[in-house]
Amino acid sequence: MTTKSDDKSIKKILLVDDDEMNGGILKKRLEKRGFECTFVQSGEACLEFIEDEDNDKIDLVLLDIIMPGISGDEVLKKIRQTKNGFELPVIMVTARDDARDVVDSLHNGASDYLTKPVNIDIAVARINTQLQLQDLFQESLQSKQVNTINTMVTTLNHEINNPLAIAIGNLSLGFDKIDEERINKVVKALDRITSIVKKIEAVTSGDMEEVNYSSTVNMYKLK
Amino acid sequence: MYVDLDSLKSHFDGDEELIGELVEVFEETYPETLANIEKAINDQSTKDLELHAHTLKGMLANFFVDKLKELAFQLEKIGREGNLGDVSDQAEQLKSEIPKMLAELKNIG
Repeated sequence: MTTKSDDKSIKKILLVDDDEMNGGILKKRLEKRGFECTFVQSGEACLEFIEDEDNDKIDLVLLDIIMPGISGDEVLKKIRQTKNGFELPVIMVTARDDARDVVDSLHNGASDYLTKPVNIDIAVARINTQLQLQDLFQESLQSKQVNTINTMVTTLNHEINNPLAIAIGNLSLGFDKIDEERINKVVKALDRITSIVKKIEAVTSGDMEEVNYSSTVNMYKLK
Repeated sequence: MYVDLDSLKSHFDGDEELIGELVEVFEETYPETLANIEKAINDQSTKDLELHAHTLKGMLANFFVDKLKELAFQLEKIGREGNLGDVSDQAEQLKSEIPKMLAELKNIG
């Protein structure tokens, strides 16, 4: 039971409730608020949906706690084995008088909880909070990747510039002034560059360490 | 009066179409849940009683019918505690009172 959209800005919610009435109505109300919802009626179906790579990526799960078969809490534990709360927020849905279940779920990695009957304004607010945290986490990851690339560029620039300057300096003196000693210096410099290029391959295998040379510039030391 | 109409309308932002749909789905699905409860009682299955009474409680909670929700909750607790003593009273009461609640819900507007 899915309403699909190709618009990536529309957040996708997986709704899990054994009760068709509760799940169906909540799905409709969330869709009216601009979410794309998929509704499944068991813990097993929830896990299958998440694991199936053919399905669209889900941004958040709304998970009923008490269900026949695998309980919501067991489903949560299985999800948390592979995805943390930022990668896939899970909001538990429970009856108002089941506080003990909620505490267990929060201990098991639930992102938040909602009580039945679900108040749609509270639900949307809590869903949006989790989705914003998720976006911040993704931005932070991307920022870290950009920083790593910047550090790499600084490192390579430094490592290649020195021997390159030696080679250019010696060659630009003119052919009449290039003796064997200078040719050796140029060859050595070019060897150094060749060696650096080979070492760059090591970056993909992680064989490097970050060195803080100043308060503003980090470089990677190629081993 | 079974239903807290003000709370019901406020909860669904006065969307009577949605409420109507909810009533329709409930009418279609509750007999099966009630039958599951009766079966659990007959089979002396406390676990099933807890589970199905919990489901019915969640369904009833949508309509702000505290009295009936409380009856379902009592059944759920009986199931959880494993003492099936006077359990059929609550089940019978639910069976006879839910149609009255539905009649009330169908007359709102």
